[in-house]
Amino acid sequence: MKILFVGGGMGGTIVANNVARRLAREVREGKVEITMLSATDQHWYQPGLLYVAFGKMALSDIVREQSNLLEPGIKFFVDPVEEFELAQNKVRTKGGVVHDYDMLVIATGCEAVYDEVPGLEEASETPYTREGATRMFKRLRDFEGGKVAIVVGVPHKCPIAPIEITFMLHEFFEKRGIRDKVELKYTYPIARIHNIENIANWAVPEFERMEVDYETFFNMKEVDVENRIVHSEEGTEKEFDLLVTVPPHRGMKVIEENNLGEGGWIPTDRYSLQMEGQDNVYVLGDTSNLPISKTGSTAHFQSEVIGENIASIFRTGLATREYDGKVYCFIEADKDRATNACFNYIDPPEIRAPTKSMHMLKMSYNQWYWSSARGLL
Amino acid sequence: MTSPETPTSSGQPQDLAKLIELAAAISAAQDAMTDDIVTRLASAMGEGMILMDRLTRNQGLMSLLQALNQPAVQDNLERLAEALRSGSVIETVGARTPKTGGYGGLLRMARDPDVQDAIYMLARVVKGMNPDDASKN
Amino acid sequence: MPETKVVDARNTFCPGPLMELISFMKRAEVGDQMELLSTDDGSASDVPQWIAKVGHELVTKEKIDDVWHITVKKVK
Repeated sequence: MKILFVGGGMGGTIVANNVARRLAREVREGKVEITMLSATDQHWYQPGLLYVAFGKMALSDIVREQSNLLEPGIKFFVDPVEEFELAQNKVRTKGGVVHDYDMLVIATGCEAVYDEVPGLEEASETPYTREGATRMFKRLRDFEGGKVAIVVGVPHKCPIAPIEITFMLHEFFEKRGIRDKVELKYTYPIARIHNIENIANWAVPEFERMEVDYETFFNMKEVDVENRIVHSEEGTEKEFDLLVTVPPHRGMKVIEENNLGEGGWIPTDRYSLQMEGQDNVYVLGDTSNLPISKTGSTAHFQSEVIGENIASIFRTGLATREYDGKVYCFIEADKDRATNACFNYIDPPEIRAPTKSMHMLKMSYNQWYWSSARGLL
Repeated sequence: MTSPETPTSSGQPQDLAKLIELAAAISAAQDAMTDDIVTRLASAMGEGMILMDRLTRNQGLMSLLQALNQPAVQDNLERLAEALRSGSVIETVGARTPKTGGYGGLLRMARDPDVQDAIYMLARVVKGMNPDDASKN
Repeated sequence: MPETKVVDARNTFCPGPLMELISFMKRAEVGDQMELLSTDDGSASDVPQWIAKVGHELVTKEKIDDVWHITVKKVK
C-alpha cells in the first residue's frame, strides 16, 4: 500500500510519523510505502513566532531540519505538489514527478494573506510570519509611546493569539517602563472580545485591569497608511501609531487552483476527517473547512485518528476511530502565569485561573514540541 | 490504659501540615524557576525522551544489548575495560609497532600466537554475520 | 447566479458561528444567500446585529429542534 502525505508542516509531520510508527514492521517488510512531499526542508514551530516577536526567542530556536524529524521509513522529497488528480489517485509535483497513492493525506495548512485589506501589509506588524515577527520586535523595541491598535482578520489560525498578543504588549511596555505612554486599543470581529465565551468572560476584567480599551464588531476593511487610520466594515475607525494585526488567512493556493476547496479550505467530514466525496483522501489541520480552531493541537489530535484509521484500514479494511473535535490550547496571561482551554464538539472549555505551573508547562511544551513532531509525545 | 487512636483522626492535622509544607516548597521552587531554567530543563528532558525512544525502538541495538548481557561476554568486556585502563594494550601496541615495515615485519607479527588468536576471533565474528557464507568454509 | 450555501456551525465553540459566517460572506458573491446553522443561542442576536451593522440583509431566522437557522443575503 502506498500512503502519500502532502505537506510537511506540524500536522503533516505528526501524522506521517504516527502512521510510520504504527506500520513500522510493514514498512520494513516493504508492504507499505510512505512518502512525504513538502515545499521546504525546514520545519518551523509556528507558535514560537509569537516569542520571536517579543524578543524572547530567536528564529534559530524554532526551526529544525525536516528530515531529522521523520521516522526512518518515510521517503521525503522537497518537491511540492502542483496538481492533484484525485480521480486517478495521483499527484504531480513542481519537479514534474508523478506520485500515485492508495491513501492520501492532505495537510498543506494555511497562510496569512493581505490582499483583502488594502494598506494592511504596509502599515501593520504581525507575529504571524518570520519576517513579520523579526520586524515586529524591532518596532516594539523602538516604540516610544502612542496608540497601539490590535486588529484581527477572519479567519485566522491560533484563535487565542489576539488575547495573548495584547497581554504580551501590556507586559512588554510595562517592563520597558513606558506603559503609561502607550494606549492599547483592542478590536475583535464579533460581539465579544473572543469567540469562546468563557475566554471572553475571563479576559474582560483582565483587560480592564490592564487598562486595555476594547471595541467589538470590528472587521477591518482598509488601512489609510498615510494618516494611520484603520477603517472597519462596520463604519468605525481606529487611529494608531503602531498597528498590530492577526491577518486574515486562506488555504494554500494549490488547493484552490486544483478545485479542492474554495478559499483553499477542503470540505471535510467532521468525524472521519475524509475529504467529502473521497474515500481514500484524508484532510488534516488548517486546510480543512471544518468550523473548528486552526491550531497545532487540533492537527495533533486529528493525526491520532487518521493514523489509527490508516493503519486499521491497511490491516483490516475498516476504520476504527472518529475525531471528537478535541482542541487543547495554552493561554498565556501576564506575570508568568497561564491557563488553558480544552474542548471538543460537545464540551465547552472551562477557563481556570492562570497559574505559574501552567506557564511552566507551556514553556516546557515549547521544547517538547519536537517530541510531538516525531510522533512520540 | 490508653485507647487506640484511629489512624485517620490522629493523622489528619499532621498530614495537612505536611501537604501545606510541600505546597509551600513547590511554590518556592516555582518562584525560583525562570523561563530560561525551565526551557533548558525541558529541552534536556525532551531530547532525552527522543533519544530513549530511538534507542528502545532500534531492534539492532536491543539485540546487541541482549548479546552483551551474556555472562561470558560481560567477562570479556570487563577484561577489555581493565586492559584499556591499565594501559597495557596501548603499551603493547606501542612496543610492537614494527620499526621496519615490509614483508618481514608482517611475518614476525603473524607468528605471534596472540595475533593469531585475534585473527581467528575476528574471522569467527565476520562468518557469523554472513550466515549464507558459513557453508563455504 | 445567486445560490444558497449552508454554513453548518452546529456544535462548535471556536471560532463559532458568527465568525464562520463572516468567513463565508467574504468569499461569497453579491446576491448570494447563506443559511447559518447554529446550536449557540447567542447567534440569534449576534448575527442579526452584525448583519445590520455591516449593511447586509437578514432574510429569515427560526429555531427548529434546538438549531437556529438564520438565512442572510450578501448585499454589497
